[in-house]
Amino acid sequence: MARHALNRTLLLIPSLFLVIFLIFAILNLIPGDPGRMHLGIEATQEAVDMFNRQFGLDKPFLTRFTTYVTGIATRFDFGLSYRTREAVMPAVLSRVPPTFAIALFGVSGAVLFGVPLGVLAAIKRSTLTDTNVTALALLLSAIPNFWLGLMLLQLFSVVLSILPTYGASSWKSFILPSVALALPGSSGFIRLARATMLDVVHQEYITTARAKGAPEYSVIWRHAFRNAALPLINGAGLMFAGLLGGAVIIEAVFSLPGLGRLMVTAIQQRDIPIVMGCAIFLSFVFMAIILIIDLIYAALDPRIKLRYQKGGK
Amino acid sequence: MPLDSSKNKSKNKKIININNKTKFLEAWRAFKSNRLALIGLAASLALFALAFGGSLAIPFDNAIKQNISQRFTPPCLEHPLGTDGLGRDMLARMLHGAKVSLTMGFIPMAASMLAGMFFGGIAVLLGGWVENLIMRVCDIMTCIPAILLALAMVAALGPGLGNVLVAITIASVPDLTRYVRSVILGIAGLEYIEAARACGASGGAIIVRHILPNAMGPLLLGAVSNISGMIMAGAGLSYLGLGIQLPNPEWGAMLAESQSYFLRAPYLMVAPGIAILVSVFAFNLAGDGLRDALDAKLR
Repeated sequence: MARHALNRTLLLIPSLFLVIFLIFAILNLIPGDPGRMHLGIEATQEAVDMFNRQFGLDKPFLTRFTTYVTGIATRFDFGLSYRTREAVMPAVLSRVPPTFAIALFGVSGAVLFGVPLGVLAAIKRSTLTDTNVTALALLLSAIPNFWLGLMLLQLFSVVLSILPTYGASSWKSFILPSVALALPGSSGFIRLARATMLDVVHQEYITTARAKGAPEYSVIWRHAFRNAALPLINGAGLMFAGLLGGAVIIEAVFSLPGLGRLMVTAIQQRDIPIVMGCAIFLSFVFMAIILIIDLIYAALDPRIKLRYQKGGK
Repeated sequence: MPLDSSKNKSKNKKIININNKTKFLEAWRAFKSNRLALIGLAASLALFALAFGGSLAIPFDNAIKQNISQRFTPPCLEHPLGTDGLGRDMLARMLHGAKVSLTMGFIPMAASMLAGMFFGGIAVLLGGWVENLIMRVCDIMTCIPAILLALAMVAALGPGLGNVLVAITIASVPDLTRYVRSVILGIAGLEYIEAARACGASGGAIIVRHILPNAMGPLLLGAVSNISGMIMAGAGLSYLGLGIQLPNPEWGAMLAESQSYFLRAPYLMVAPGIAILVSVFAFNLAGDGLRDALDAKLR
């Protein structure tokens, strides 16, 4: 098991290298002069040339890539921002907390709202409750989260004026963005919880539990739900990872100073090093979360654990 | 279960001679009996009719013509959805925006599906190192969250409608390539393919005559179930100001504009949001119905 975990973790390194290569290639193989693109058409040729020399953009692609990767590997150096001329990684890391917070609250909210509803629908299968919950899930999945954010802003900040409209000055600023992410996100958990519970309740050990006289809540939550929880952990992990990168739009709605805003501003200003830094950082977190989910799976599911012990040693 | 389905098929064969037409008829019959799916399909078609018919009926000029004296007119008879901060008629903007928003669902869907069929097909057909290379590239690309990949593309190409279409397309190619490959591999393992091979059919003939017709249903499903996500992604990128450029109307961009007037004219943000919601809802219903219909046919 430990050996398996170590193997998987070590495999992350070549994958990360290839991801860095891919992102670097996308952003550096654009036709056109990078200095010209950043400085605009009014800049003099000397200024463009100087800019290119300063950022090493006059060198061939592979040389630039080698320098970039060496910088990351040896000094954790992701280069300098074109605009501020400051190091990229500290700027990226300083923007992590708000994004991390709304992603975490968003996932938690989606799970806390979606899972009980999904379990309820599964228990009351083919009743009016089930139909209503399923319809709610369908509706929630169609709501664009940024529009929900705008409507919530209108209601709570303008009409009722109990919550701030923008910024990240207090914990109150995080309520609306998290809700705007959680509600549409919960539809996935409603469906997933319903489907996995329906799979589980037909298993023989559930019949056994009932037959030995276990009370209904214990059958549902201790016997059935525990076994249905694994796919939900997977779903929660994937949603969290997705939100870290995908909360960009919500950050724009609420003017939260998060990673997404940094990235969109950088795209508009054609500040390529910042875009690369954000993309590589988020991809790394994404891959790490998927690895962690995998390991949790292996640790929690005896069937998977057994397979590794057989195959691993 | 492959065993079950083949048993089922031989039973059907006695009653009706299975060809592709009756297969689609069967799926259509199952689809038709699903009320929600029909509503979804009807709503999707209605959206198209509105977008393309409506933009024929109302000249594009109405959608971009500014009329400062009439700015912030609340909904009334002359302007059923009101006018925006530059006095432009919201109804005209909604209808002309619909064309762009729906295009952002359909063009990337078609393009990435074709690319997925191409790469997935080549991977299965050639196998060996080609398949390995294609699948490893897909693995690496899916290590980057799709929206991030799209953003990186937009960063490289620059903002604009065409570039956003390219970005959304490329970002969804790896998933579709994997999907197409798994569909083809699933069918290639079935008994009737083995039978065709035993009868001496060539590789090309098996793909064109046997695998492709049977893969149509799942491939259509893969395409349809991607539309709503792409409409949402397109609207999101336009909201960020990376998609269509002003003054052209588009739902996501209109939401972004409405945000600057959200104290003065809150009604401006209602229509574009509901339009996105309704389209995503309609395509989701139709997609779910299609999946159920194909499932029923397999079972």
